[in-house]
Amino acid sequence: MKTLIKYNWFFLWFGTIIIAYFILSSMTIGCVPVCEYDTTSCDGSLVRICNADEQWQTIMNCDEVSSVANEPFVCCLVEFEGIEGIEGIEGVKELIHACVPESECKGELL
Amino acid sequence: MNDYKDSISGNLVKSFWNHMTSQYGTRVIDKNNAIEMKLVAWFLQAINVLDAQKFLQRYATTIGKRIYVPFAIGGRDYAYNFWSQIVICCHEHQHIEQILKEGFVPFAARYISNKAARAAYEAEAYISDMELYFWRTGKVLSPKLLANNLLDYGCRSSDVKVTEKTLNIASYTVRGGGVINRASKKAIDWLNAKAPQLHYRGYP
Repeated sequence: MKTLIKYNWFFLWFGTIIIAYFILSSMTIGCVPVCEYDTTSCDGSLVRICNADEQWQTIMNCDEVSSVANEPFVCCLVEFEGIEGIEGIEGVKELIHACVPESECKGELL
Repeated sequence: MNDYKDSISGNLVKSFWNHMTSQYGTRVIDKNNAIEMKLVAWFLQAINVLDAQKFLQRYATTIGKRIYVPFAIGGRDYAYNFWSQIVICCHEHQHIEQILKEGFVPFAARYISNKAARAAYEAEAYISDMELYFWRTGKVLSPKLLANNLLDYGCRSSDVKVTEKTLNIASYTVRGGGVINRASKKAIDWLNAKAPQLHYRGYP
């Protein structure tokens, strides 16, 4: 009994989460695809990627990126080049959207 | 990276954790002695999110403002060296940022019920790992190796691929001198002030 009282916050939380889990898991209406999987885009200052559910998810907010140089960052289309010795991106070359210093954005700026 | 040569002490690690927990109002709890963690481990294994043993021994876990860690902070541990204890602190506090933004119940419910959401939350926290690693070494962690961790979280290969690309994108910004995550900013500000010698240039 004392254990139950000591941990009542946990059981309350745990029970809420389990109920929420089963409600969300049982929802049969799937999300309507709104984007093409694995593509990226800018939405103002937000860098987004289309996730495995074909929904946009925000990766970063360029307005919140800080740097020592204190230069503002913007969402920009850039050419990503892999780094030698880093597994998975060695030799990679692709166009992506990312937050870059404003002065360095030569590509599409939204 | 050998932290015995690089002047990271257990006291520095404790000070760092004290700083971050006071910034966020969080508490640190020994995961190995928490009954509630055993219950969570059982549940996560039951819904195919994560193996119970791995959950208890290999991962720190954040619930609300309680951070459960499988090591003694500032203590010598064969699996968690001093630098990794600092990185884990920042990683978990980025989850706190997510909780503060969304509310704990919506965050937790999405985390356990939606694989894409779980991958996104972890990807964001892995960005903190990447930012601290860059601060420390001037190099980038492998996005592929970080993303592959999500296979232990019950995520799909399609989620892992999205996470890898997310971290590729983050690495571009990090290499350009940007600090993306709020928890990372707090961590790096503290490290610049209290342990500048750990910066890869020897100074921030």
